[in-house]
Amino acid sequence: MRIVISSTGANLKADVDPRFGRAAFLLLYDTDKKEVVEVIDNGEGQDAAQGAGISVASLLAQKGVAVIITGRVGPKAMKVVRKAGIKVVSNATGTVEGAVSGFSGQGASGQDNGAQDERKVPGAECRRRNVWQKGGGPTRMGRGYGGRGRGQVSGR
Amino acid sequence: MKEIVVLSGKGGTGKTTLLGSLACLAENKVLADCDVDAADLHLLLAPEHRSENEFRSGVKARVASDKCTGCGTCQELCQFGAIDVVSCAAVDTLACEGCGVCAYFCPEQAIHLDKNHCGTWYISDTDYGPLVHAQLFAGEENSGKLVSFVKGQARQLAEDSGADFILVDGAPGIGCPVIASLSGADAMVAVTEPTLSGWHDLVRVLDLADHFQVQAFVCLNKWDLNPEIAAVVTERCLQRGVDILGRIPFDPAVITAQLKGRPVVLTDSLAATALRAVWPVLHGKVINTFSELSGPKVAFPAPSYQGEMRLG
Amino acid sequence: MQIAVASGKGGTGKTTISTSLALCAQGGVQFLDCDVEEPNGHIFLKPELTESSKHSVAIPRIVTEQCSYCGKCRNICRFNAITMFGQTIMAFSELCHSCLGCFLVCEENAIVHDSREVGVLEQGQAGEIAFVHGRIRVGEAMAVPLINEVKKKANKADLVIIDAPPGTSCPFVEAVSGADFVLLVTEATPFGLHDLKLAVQVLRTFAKPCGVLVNRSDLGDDRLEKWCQVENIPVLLKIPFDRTIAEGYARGDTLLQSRPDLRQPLENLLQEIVQ
Repeated sequence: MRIVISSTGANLKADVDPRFGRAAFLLLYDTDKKEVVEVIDNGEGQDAAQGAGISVASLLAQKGVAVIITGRVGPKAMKVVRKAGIKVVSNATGTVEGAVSGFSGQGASGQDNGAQDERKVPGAECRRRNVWQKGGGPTRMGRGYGGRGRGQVSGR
Repeated sequence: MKEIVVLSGKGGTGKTTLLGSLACLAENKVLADCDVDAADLHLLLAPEHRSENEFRSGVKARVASDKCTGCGTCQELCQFGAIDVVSCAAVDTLACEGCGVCAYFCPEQAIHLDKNHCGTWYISDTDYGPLVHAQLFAGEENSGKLVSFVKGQARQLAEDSGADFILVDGAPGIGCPVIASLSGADAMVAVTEPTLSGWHDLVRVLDLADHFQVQAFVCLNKWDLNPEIAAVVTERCLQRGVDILGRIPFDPAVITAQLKGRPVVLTDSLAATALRAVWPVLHGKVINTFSELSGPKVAFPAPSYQGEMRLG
Repeated sequence: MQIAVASGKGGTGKTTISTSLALCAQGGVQFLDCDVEEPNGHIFLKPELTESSKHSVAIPRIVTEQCSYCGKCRNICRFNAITMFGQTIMAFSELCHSCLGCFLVCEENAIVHDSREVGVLEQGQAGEIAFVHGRIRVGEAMAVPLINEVKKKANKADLVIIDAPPGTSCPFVEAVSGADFVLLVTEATPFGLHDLKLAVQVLRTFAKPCGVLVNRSDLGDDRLEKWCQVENIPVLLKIPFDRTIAEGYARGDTLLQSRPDLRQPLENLLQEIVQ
């Protein structure tokens, strides 16, 4: 399986770049070969006036990536990612190496169940709903307060 | 880390005055001035530049006059009225949107797209913490991208230094730069004044915060200029579920402090007293809201994984 | 003649001055509120709005049955509004700048015109004043097309007063670009001066004649006037701070209602600019 990690540097020792579309590098990792198969320099994405996430997502779809590990994927890029059927692991931090082995370890313990299904986390939605009612804030639920820092695994 | 953006809709209601004061009151924070058209925060905080960098964004069309035959194709296709052909095509760079249609269709390949150097951004040190700010060159577009960029730099600084807060000074209006400054924020504080225009514009900025699902708060400035409207604004905000963080009276001390180039909260004045009360309220609300949100943390099982992972 | 009332800094009194100038004018006058993000002129002029039209810009919609997935439309779009992978093509209308490049390059006629509403344009009459304003849709990022639409309503024969948006970037440039004269309303504070300098810099790039009106002129110092003198920019009028004006403004009263004695100086100002 091919996974991609947004990275601040060109090798596994670098930190995960919290940005997706404007990440410095994208490391394509093959979980069967257990190695980086391609390093994409994303200078163009960093420079784009807008829609950087969209074009990166399309590029990854073309390359047949199954999972994206990054900080946060914006709403527009997420549309592309969903359409392409790529899974996203958000809010990854630390080194790329750590993120990869974390993902592989979790994958080995049985992928696609439990941890990757957000509906199975008890109380997650209820907690949000309480806050909205109390604060009288927006009733849409999708992205919470739109901030970073709340974990999210989403797929198709 | 929490990112708090100060906006207003209407201009001149006191965004920078409030932010300059919050900068003195909050601890362990990074400051960002996202009003890149007309950045004023540096006038209060006396920053010392740590680094100065070019900002480039988009492209502008440039005509190679020796190749141009004056056929007029570019003028005909340009949707922005940016090209005028007399004997040779001339580009109005202020109107040029950088779409590149002219260059693509030029039969002589006489049009080139140059990267547009459109501003400067700085990382500076102030007595109140690091400040990321920028100045867009006169009449340039793309301020939304520069705003995102300034915010990105501020986040990076905040992450590196382990800051608890990013305080962002926004632009007036509800357009491109404001949307960019609101994106990804944890909370928005709208500074308003008790005037019909202030209220009209506040509603639009609160709608915008709803649209982007950012929690909104309101701070009433110069409230005593019209206590009746101030009362109505307060009531309507509460009806919408928007909390009022504080009321600041009209006080010439605000201007006196600005003339001296320092935040008004450091002076002994009525406005300073009122401003000092704003931060504890905001701090409490932002922290409490998020402690309610934080659920059980689900970490990756592998011990080598550095990050923490939460779901839902 | 077109006079744009502008400022770098927000909240200096553009709307107060522009509405009052419109009220002072003799004969036919038209008021165009080009601050489409936060239009406020109507609060003071209280026009009876009789016409309202939605303004939209052209955006692409892709007819996938016709598409050959050649990728030309994606390649020409510099705004990343069209993306493609394999046999999937997607258009993001909110990123589109309406350059029409994709329509022009498509050889399969697979792209059809769709539209994105950017806001509404409203027109009416406030006494003698013909009133036009634009109001951008909340969440829409691009103000320029709507400002342009408001400007198209300008009546060539009459005196036209334009209330411009604050700032110095594209919306400001668009609002003042057609004007014969720009009146910059500012304050004698460091913020006011700093932002005035930026606005003047823009106006100089296209050699636009301008003058300064100092509002709340007694709240601040003389740095602003000294700068204007050095730069040879005329200070046309100074209005000291007056709580009556501020309180009247809060209620939606015009400057002339709060301070009828200011009619004469404003009429003189208008005369001076027109000449």
